[in-house]
Amino acid sequence: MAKLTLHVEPDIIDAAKTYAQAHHVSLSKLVTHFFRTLMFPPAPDFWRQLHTTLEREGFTEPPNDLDALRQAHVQRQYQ
Amino acid sequence: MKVLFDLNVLIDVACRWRRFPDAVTLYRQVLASPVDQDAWPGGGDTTLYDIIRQSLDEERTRAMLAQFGAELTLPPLTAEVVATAQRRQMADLEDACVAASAFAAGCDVIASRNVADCQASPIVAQPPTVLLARLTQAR
Repeated sequence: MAKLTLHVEPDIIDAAKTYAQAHHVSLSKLVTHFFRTLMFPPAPDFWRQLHTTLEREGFTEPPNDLDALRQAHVQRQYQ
Repeated sequence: MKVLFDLNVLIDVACRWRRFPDAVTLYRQVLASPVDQDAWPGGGDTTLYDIIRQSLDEERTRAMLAQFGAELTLPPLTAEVVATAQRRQMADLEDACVAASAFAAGCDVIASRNVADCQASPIVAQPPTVLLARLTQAR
Protein backbone atom coordinates (compact mmCIF):
# COMPACT_ATOMS: atom_id res chain seq x y z
CA MET A 1 0.00 0.00 0.00
CA ALA A 2 1.25 3.50 -0.81
CA LYS A 3 0.52 6.67 1.17
CA LEU A 4 -1.58 9.47 -0.33
CA THR A 5 -1.91 13.03 1.00
CA LEU A 6 -5.10 14.91 0.20
CA HIS A 7 -6.16 18.50 0.87
CA VAL A 8 -9.85 18.54 1.81
CA GLU A 9 -12.15 21.01 3.58
CA PRO A 10 -12.27 20.24 7.33
CA ASP A 11 -16.07 19.86 7.41
CA ILE A 12 -15.88 17.30 4.60
CA ILE A 13 -13.21 15.38 6.51
CA ASP A 14 -15.37 15.38 9.66
CA ALA A 15 -18.42 14.20 7.74
CA ALA A 16 -16.43 11.50 5.96
CA LYS A 17 -14.96 10.25 9.25
CA THR A 18 -18.40 10.13 10.84
CA TYR A 19 -19.79 8.21 7.86
CA ALA A 20 -16.86 5.77 7.84
CA GLN A 21 -17.15 5.16 11.57
CA ALA A 22 -20.89 4.61 11.37
CA HIS A 23 -20.41 2.04 8.61
CA HIS A 24 -17.36 0.31 10.12
CA VAL A 25 -15.19 1.06 7.12
CA SER A 26 -11.91 2.96 6.79
CA LEU A 27 -11.51 6.26 4.94
CA SER A 28 -8.84 4.56 2.82
CA LYS A 29 -11.36 1.97 1.69
CA LEU A 30 -13.94 4.63 0.83
CA VAL A 31 -11.42 6.65 -1.19
CA THR A 32 -10.20 3.48 -2.94
CA HIS A 33 -13.77 2.60 -3.86
CA PHE A 34 -14.31 6.09 -5.29
CA PHE A 35 -11.15 5.92 -7.42
CA ARG A 36 -12.08 2.44 -8.64
CA THR A 37 -15.48 3.70 -9.85
CA LEU A 38 -13.67 6.42 -11.83
CA MET A 39 -11.19 4.03 -13.41
CA PHE A 40 -13.48 1.08 -14.00
CA PRO A 41 -16.93 2.32 -14.99
CA PRO A 42 -19.53 -0.40 -14.56
CA ALA A 43 -19.70 -2.87 -17.40
CA PRO A 44 -23.03 -3.36 -19.16
CA ASP A 45 -25.30 -4.88 -16.55
CA PHE A 46 -25.16 -8.65 -17.07
CA TRP A 47 -28.41 -9.34 -15.22
CA ARG A 48 -30.42 -6.58 -16.90
CA GLN A 49 -29.26 -7.71 -20.33
CA LEU A 50 -30.03 -11.33 -19.59
CA HIS A 51 -33.46 -10.60 -18.12
CA THR A 52 -34.36 -8.39 -21.08
CA THR A 53 -33.40 -11.17 -23.49
CA LEU A 54 -35.34 -13.77 -21.52
CA GLU A 55 -38.42 -11.54 -21.40
CA ARG A 56 -38.23 -11.09 -25.16
CA GLU A 57 -38.14 -14.88 -25.53
CA GLY A 58 -41.25 -15.33 -23.35
CA PHE A 59 -39.36 -16.91 -20.45
CA THR A 60 -41.51 -18.42 -17.67
CA GLU A 61 -40.14 -18.00 -14.16
CA PRO A 62 -39.71 -21.27 -12.20
CA PRO A 63 -42.04 -21.97 -9.25
CA ASN A 64 -41.27 -20.88 -5.69
CA ASP A 65 -41.03 -24.37 -4.24
CA LEU A 66 -37.30 -25.12 -4.11
CA ASP A 67 -37.92 -28.57 -2.65
CA ALA A 68 -40.04 -29.52 -5.66
CA LEU A 69 -37.29 -28.26 -7.97
CA ARG A 70 -34.68 -30.24 -6.04
CA GLN A 71 -36.81 -33.38 -6.24
CA ALA A 72 -37.30 -32.91 -9.97
CA HIS A 73 -33.54 -32.68 -10.36
CA VAL A 74 -32.91 -35.82 -8.27
CA GLN A 75 -35.50 -37.75 -10.26
CA ARG A 76 -33.92 -36.80 -13.54
CA GLN A 77 -30.35 -37.33 -12.41
CA TYR A 78 -30.49 -40.41 -10.20
CA GLN A 79 -33.64 -42.41 -10.92
CA MET B 1 -23.08 -4.69 6.68
CA LYS B 2 -21.81 -8.04 5.41
CA VAL B 3 -24.63 -9.92 3.67
CA LEU B 4 -24.60 -13.58 2.68
CA PHE B 5 -27.13 -14.26 -0.06
CA ASP B 6 -29.07 -17.48 0.49
CA LEU B 7 -29.62 -19.69 -2.54
CA ASN B 8 -33.32 -18.85 -2.84
CA VAL B 9 -32.47 -15.15 -3.21
CA LEU B 10 -29.76 -15.87 -5.79
CA ILE B 11 -32.27 -17.96 -7.76
CA ASP B 12 -34.65 -14.97 -7.61
CA VAL B 13 -31.88 -12.71 -8.95
CA ALA B 14 -31.14 -15.19 -11.71
CA CYS B 15 -34.55 -16.25 -12.93
CA ARG B 16 -37.42 -14.96 -10.76
CA TRP B 17 -36.72 -11.26 -11.04
CA ARG B 18 -40.31 -10.33 -11.92
CA ARG B 19 -41.85 -12.13 -8.95
CA PHE B 20 -39.19 -10.99 -6.46
CA PRO B 21 -37.88 -7.60 -7.61
CA ASP B 22 -36.64 -6.79 -4.08
CA ALA B 23 -34.08 -9.59 -4.38
CA VAL B 24 -32.59 -7.94 -7.46
CA THR B 25 -32.66 -4.48 -5.90
CA LEU B 26 -30.95 -5.71 -2.74
CA TYR B 27 -28.34 -7.59 -4.76
CA ARG B 28 -27.53 -4.50 -6.81
CA GLN B 29 -27.40 -2.23 -3.77
CA VAL B 30 -25.05 -4.44 -1.77
CA LEU B 31 -22.70 -4.94 -4.72
CA ALA B 32 -22.59 -1.22 -5.53
CA SER B 33 -22.11 -0.11 -1.94
CA PRO B 34 -18.69 1.04 -0.74
CA VAL B 35 -19.52 -0.01 2.81
CA ASP B 36 -21.49 -3.24 2.47
CA GLN B 37 -19.91 -6.60 1.68
CA ASP B 38 -21.35 -9.66 -0.03
CA ALA B 39 -20.94 -13.41 0.08
CA TRP B 40 -22.60 -16.55 -1.24
CA PRO B 41 -22.69 -19.94 0.40
CA GLY B 42 -19.75 -22.24 -0.19
CA GLY B 43 -20.80 -25.34 -2.09
CA GLY B 44 -24.08 -23.76 -3.13
CA ASP B 45 -23.12 -23.48 -6.77
CA THR B 46 -24.08 -27.08 -7.55
CA THR B 47 -27.56 -26.54 -6.10
CA LEU B 48 -27.87 -23.30 -8.06
CA TYR B 49 -26.82 -25.14 -11.18
CA ASP B 50 -29.30 -27.98 -10.62
CA ILE B 51 -32.22 -25.60 -10.10
CA ILE B 52 -31.47 -22.87 -12.63
CA ARG B 53 -30.63 -25.48 -15.28
CA GLN B 54 -34.25 -26.68 -15.11
CA SER B 55 -35.36 -23.32 -16.50
CA LEU B 56 -32.46 -22.28 -18.70
CA ASP B 57 -30.08 -23.85 -21.18
CA GLU B 58 -26.59 -25.03 -20.26
CA GLU B 59 -24.78 -22.01 -21.66
CA ARG B 60 -26.88 -19.44 -19.83
CA THR B 61 -26.86 -21.39 -16.59
CA ARG B 62 -23.08 -21.55 -16.61
CA ALA B 63 -22.86 -17.85 -17.55
CA MET B 64 -25.03 -17.00 -14.54
CA LEU B 65 -22.89 -19.06 -12.18
CA ALA B 66 -19.75 -17.45 -13.58
CA GLN B 67 -21.31 -14.03 -13.00
CA PHE B 68 -22.16 -14.86 -9.38
CA GLY B 69 -18.60 -16.12 -8.97
CA ALA B 70 -17.18 -12.89 -10.37
CA GLU B 71 -19.45 -10.62 -8.33
CA LEU B 72 -19.66 -12.35 -4.96
CA THR B 73 -17.15 -13.44 -2.35
CA LEU B 74 -17.12 -17.18 -1.79
CA PRO B 75 -16.14 -18.08 1.78
CA PRO B 76 -14.21 -21.36 1.99
CA LEU B 77 -16.32 -24.43 2.73
CA THR B 78 -13.87 -26.07 5.09
CA ALA B 79 -14.18 -29.35 7.00
CA GLU B 80 -14.84 -27.26 10.09
CA VAL B 81 -17.71 -25.38 8.44
CA VAL B 82 -19.26 -28.67 7.28
CA ALA B 83 -18.85 -30.23 10.74
CA THR B 84 -20.43 -27.15 12.35
CA ALA B 85 -23.34 -27.39 9.92
CA GLN B 86 -23.89 -31.06 10.76
CA ARG B 87 -23.97 -30.28 14.48
CA ARG B 88 -26.52 -27.48 14.12
CA GLN B 89 -30.07 -28.22 15.13
CA MET B 90 -31.54 -27.24 11.79
CA ALA B 91 -34.02 -29.34 9.85
CA ASP B 92 -32.29 -28.95 6.49
CA LEU B 93 -28.56 -29.62 6.15
CA GLU B 94 -28.24 -27.19 3.26
CA ASP B 95 -29.73 -24.40 5.39
CA ALA B 96 -27.29 -25.40 8.13
CA CYS B 97 -24.38 -25.13 5.65
CA VAL B 98 -25.57 -21.66 4.63
CA ALA B 99 -25.76 -20.64 8.31
CA ALA B 100 -22.33 -22.10 9.12
CA SER B 101 -20.80 -20.41 6.06
CA ALA B 102 -22.28 -17.06 7.10
CA PHE B 103 -20.92 -17.49 10.63
CA ALA B 104 -17.44 -18.51 9.47
CA ALA B 105 -17.31 -15.60 7.01
CA GLY B 106 -18.24 -13.08 9.72
CA CYS B 107 -21.49 -12.06 8.05
CA ASP B 108 -23.97 -9.81 9.85
CA VAL B 109 -27.05 -11.17 8.15
CA ILE B 110 -28.32 -13.80 5.70
CA ALA B 111 -30.57 -12.50 2.94
CA SER B 112 -33.20 -15.22 2.63
CA ARG B 113 -36.89 -15.71 1.93
CA ASN B 114 -36.70 -18.87 4.00
CA VAL B 115 -36.50 -17.13 7.39
CA ALA B 116 -38.66 -19.69 9.19
CA ASP B 117 -36.16 -22.49 8.56
CA CYS B 118 -33.25 -20.35 9.76
CA GLN B 119 -34.48 -19.81 13.33
CA ALA B 120 -31.59 -21.86 14.73
CA SER B 121 -29.00 -20.07 12.62
CA PRO B 122 -26.27 -18.23 14.55
CA ILE B 123 -26.60 -15.41 12.01
CA VAL B 124 -30.01 -13.82 11.69
CA ALA B 125 -31.82 -14.32 8.38
CA GLN B 126 -34.00 -11.57 6.95
CA PRO B 127 -35.98 -11.31 3.72
CA PRO B 128 -34.75 -8.90 1.02
CA THR B 129 -37.61 -6.46 1.66
CA VAL B 130 -36.65 -6.06 5.32
CA LEU B 131 -32.94 -5.82 4.52
CA LEU B 132 -33.53 -3.15 1.92
CA ALA B 133 -35.34 -1.05 4.52
CA ARG B 134 -32.46 -1.61 6.97
CA LEU B 135 -29.86 -0.56 4.41
CA THR B 136 -31.84 2.54 3.46
CA GLN B 137 -32.20 3.49 7.12
CA ALA B 138 -28.46 3.05 7.72
CA ARG B 139 -27.56 5.57 5.02
